[in-house]
Amino acid sequence: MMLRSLRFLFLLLACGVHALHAQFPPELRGRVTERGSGAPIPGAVVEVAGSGLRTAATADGGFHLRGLLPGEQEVRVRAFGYRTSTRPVQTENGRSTWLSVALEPEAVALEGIRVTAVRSETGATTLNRAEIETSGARELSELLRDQAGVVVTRRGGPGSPAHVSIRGSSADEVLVLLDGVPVNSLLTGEADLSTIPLEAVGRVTVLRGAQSARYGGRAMAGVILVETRRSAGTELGARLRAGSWGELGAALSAGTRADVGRTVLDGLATAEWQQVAGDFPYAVPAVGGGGESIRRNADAAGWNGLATGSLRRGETEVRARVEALGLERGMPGSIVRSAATARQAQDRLSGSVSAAGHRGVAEWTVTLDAGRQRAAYHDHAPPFGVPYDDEVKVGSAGASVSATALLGANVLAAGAEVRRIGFASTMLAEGAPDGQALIGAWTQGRLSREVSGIHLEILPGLRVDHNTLLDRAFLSPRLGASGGASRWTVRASVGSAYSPPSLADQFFQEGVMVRPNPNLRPERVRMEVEGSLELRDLLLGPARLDAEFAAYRADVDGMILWSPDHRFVWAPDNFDVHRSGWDASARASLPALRSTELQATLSRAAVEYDTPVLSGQVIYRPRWTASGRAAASLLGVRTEISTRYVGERRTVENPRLNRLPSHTLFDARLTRHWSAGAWGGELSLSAENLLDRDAAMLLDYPYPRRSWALSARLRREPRRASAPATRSPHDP
Amino acid sequence: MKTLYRSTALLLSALAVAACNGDDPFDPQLGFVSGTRDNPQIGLVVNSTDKALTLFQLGNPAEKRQIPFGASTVVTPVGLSVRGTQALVPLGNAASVALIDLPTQRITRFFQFPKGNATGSAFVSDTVALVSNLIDDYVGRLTLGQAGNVITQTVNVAPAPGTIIVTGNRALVVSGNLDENFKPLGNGVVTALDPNTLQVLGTVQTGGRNPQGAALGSDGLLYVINSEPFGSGVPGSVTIIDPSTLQVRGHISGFGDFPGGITIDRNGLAYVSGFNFGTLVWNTKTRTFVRGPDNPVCAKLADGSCRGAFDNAVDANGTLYQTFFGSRSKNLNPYVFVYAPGTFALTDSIAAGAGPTAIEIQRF
Repeated sequence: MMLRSLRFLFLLLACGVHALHAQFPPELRGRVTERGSGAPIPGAVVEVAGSGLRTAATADGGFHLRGLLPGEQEVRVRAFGYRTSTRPVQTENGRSTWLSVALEPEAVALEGIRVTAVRSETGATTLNRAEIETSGARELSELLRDQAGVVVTRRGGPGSPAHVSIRGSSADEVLVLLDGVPVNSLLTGEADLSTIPLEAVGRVTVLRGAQSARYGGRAMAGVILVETRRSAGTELGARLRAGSWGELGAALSAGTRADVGRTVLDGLATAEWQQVAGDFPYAVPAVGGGGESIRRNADAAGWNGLATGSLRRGETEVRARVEALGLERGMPGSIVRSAATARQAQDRLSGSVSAAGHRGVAEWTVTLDAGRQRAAYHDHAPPFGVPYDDEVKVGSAGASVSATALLGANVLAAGAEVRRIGFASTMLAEGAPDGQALIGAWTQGRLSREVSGIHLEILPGLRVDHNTLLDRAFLSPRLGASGGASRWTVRASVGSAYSPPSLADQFFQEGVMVRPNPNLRPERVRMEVEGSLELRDLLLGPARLDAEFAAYRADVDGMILWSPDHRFVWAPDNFDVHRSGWDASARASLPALRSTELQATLSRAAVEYDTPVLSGQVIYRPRWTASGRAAASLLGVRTEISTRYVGERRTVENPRLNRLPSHTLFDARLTRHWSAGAWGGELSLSAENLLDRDAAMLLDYPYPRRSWALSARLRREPRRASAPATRSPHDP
Repeated sequence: MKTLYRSTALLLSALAVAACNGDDPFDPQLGFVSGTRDNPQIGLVVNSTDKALTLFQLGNPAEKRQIPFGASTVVTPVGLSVRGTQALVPLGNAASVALIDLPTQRITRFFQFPKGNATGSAFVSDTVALVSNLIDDYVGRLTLGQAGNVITQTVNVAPAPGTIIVTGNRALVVSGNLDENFKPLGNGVVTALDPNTLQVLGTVQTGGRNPQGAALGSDGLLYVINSEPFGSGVPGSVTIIDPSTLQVRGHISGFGDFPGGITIDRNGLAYVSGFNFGTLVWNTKTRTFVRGPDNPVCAKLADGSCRGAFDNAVDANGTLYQTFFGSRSKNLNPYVFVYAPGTFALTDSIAAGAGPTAIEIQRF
């Protein structure tokens, strides 16, 4: 009886479903990924020719178009930095058609390619390989410094350490992941972006705001995801660069790809070397005697190499990656008390193996990684203090697993990460820990619904972390919501995040000028509230405009700040801080007017002490930052002018005294592209600090004045096969 | 026309009233540093955290001027010396000394050591001064009008020289006798120099470790504060030295935990400040405490404990001014606390910038 009832129910449901099918017009669902890597392309535009229907791919590359006409349709998929793909698709009433599109990276920087970042629907900014190459940036800090809400602090000229702050954060409150593995120093918690050269990088994504719900500790003000390249086909490339202050650089890359039956193999190797003498002139402050001097011991030399390969068969892919880096540089210190003999040497070797696949509606990924890093610091004749010869050794191994289920328009994902880190350093006090274990588990969801033509999404997320150096587990929830149509999206989110004290904060070897604080508590953002509005593809006469505005409040409970005591001994302590602000960015393109592109950002970050003894902006946090860029093509030469403004900064407790003045710097670049058959490339002449201004992000660590660089890139185009549209296994 | 006369008369009356206001400079030529009509004295406070020199009028402490030295982390000022209308502020790790014209509140110029740390200074005359180099263990002599900025005339003294006292025809340099990690090598040392030739005239041990401060008494003797190593728990002491013979005339212990600044008034009262206890008052004539370690002069907290004091100064009336560095961890603001003469009752607190360390009171 029971069996019969169930059978009847099944038949009823089947008929009902069939009846429902017949009631709605054709739909198109699918996913846009990068050919080769399989990585999703957030923000890719999917449009049906002649219909006016258009949408943008979501963070996981998914898209959904409704209300199509039945019959054969031409679907066009485009994304910045990728070759546009046009496909015929057959649609039927009451049917949802699945379309998987793998876009080819557009490795050639053609005139008119937008060297601008694309913000995806999750509020992230993504820079792909083409944009990285066209930007002319040497390393990661130069790529990120024009992004809204991002402040890069470099300790001088090219090759010197550079750290990143997002929305007024400390550098150790931004998590930087290189292929999923933290780059942040275990000692200081900060990521030195100068150790991430770009030749091997395929994509960079900036996530602003509290991200601990997905990425755990340190992801308190944002996350920077750096993904290494993959081969798009058989390719060859070379780059040479020469510039002021003794700068020389060279890079080589070679990749191949082979289709053997159902198996696809690809491999890529890159190698990069660069050096800079760094002996630029600077103005000596009056306290140091005035006049002008030459920066000494500011040289840097480094190399890095990457080898990556993957094997894809059917729905499963296995990928292996090995990366190595070495650098050696001077640490000249403050210009008032220069360190003539302080040096740093660093090397890094890391590798990973990952496997990914999908079955039915589920996708899965497993990754194992391991790495070791060594940094040595020595000075036999420091300007003050005692000679030192210190070393930091870090070894780490990690594993992560994640699974994603695509449930119609909804997505449910979960994952777990385990990491074991061992370290030894002569810079840490006796009794400091020699290891650390991190365990984290997370889940995220995306619930989507279309209401009156408005696409609504709810994005819940939760993560729990345990760190053996902290005495308790951390729970980091986040809830986001968005609504939008093809040209606009409104988002709101609330979330919490945390950042643990670094080993240096707690266990630095007490010396003449520093004293650690083992009683520090982790920094917390208990509730970050953010709202944003994004406008896309607005047509204003001949111009196409994209714009975004985001406002946030993210007070920090116990921000860790170092300050001197009455003996000038520096020690860290927790301070409560109010943090709020907004970021605005806009991009306009006028293709008909010499492929003109305009871009501007403006950010305000109020980061204010909330203690009885301190008030006003936290030291070294600029309240205002801005950037601008204009590019146009003239006589076959791409001309680009860019500018960056950093507002004045407080350097001492007194809000009126000893302020570090604001600065505005201008850069310019002329680029000539060429191609001949399968070969192509560009020649580029660039000028930094065009107006020869004195500027610094840190007091007594000046930037070089006007400098020049000439770079040439040669490449042989990847040979590719066309990417056919495929149907999902669950497509009817 | 009548209206114009009336307006002019009103304006003149207003100006006359303003001229009689005590906030206005007593002496227009000296301006702010002439103080008020009621009290021409000026307080000078070195702000090590703000990296500045703060001037305030004792007659109207709300009136302040601040002179920034530059925000470099190597600018670590803790002391000053004043002569006439000029002040010298050694800038610590900047290995530099700022010469300040006080009436205009401007830095006239900087003098530099090639390297090291400029800690102590003293005027020898209106045109000559001495500066100690804590790290490189020497004393340099500079002329305010010298051609270059580098201090080239130097003499080696005992390790870690700090305070310099000029008396008569000799300069007394107090050395902590510390190693490169600032740990004591032995007892402190006072080196007597000829301030004109920089010839070493003699040395004497202080009988205690890590001397941080010294002052001349009304009796002409040198009173040296042996601070002992920070955190050692050993109470500080005072060593009394005859500057002319370099003989030790006395050694008195029991000056609290890590005493530092010392001032001696014309009545022979020595005010010894300590970061952990406040200010002790000790009679140099009777060699007895007026306010001892069990009852220091201090601004008390709610729990009855004392705020500490970095330094102190006494004005012409015997009013005690005491610098309190402040404490971020305890949420305590920095102040200059003011105590009545004789009773040492707390009468006022003056906000004089962040991280106040050395204090001097002058009349210009």
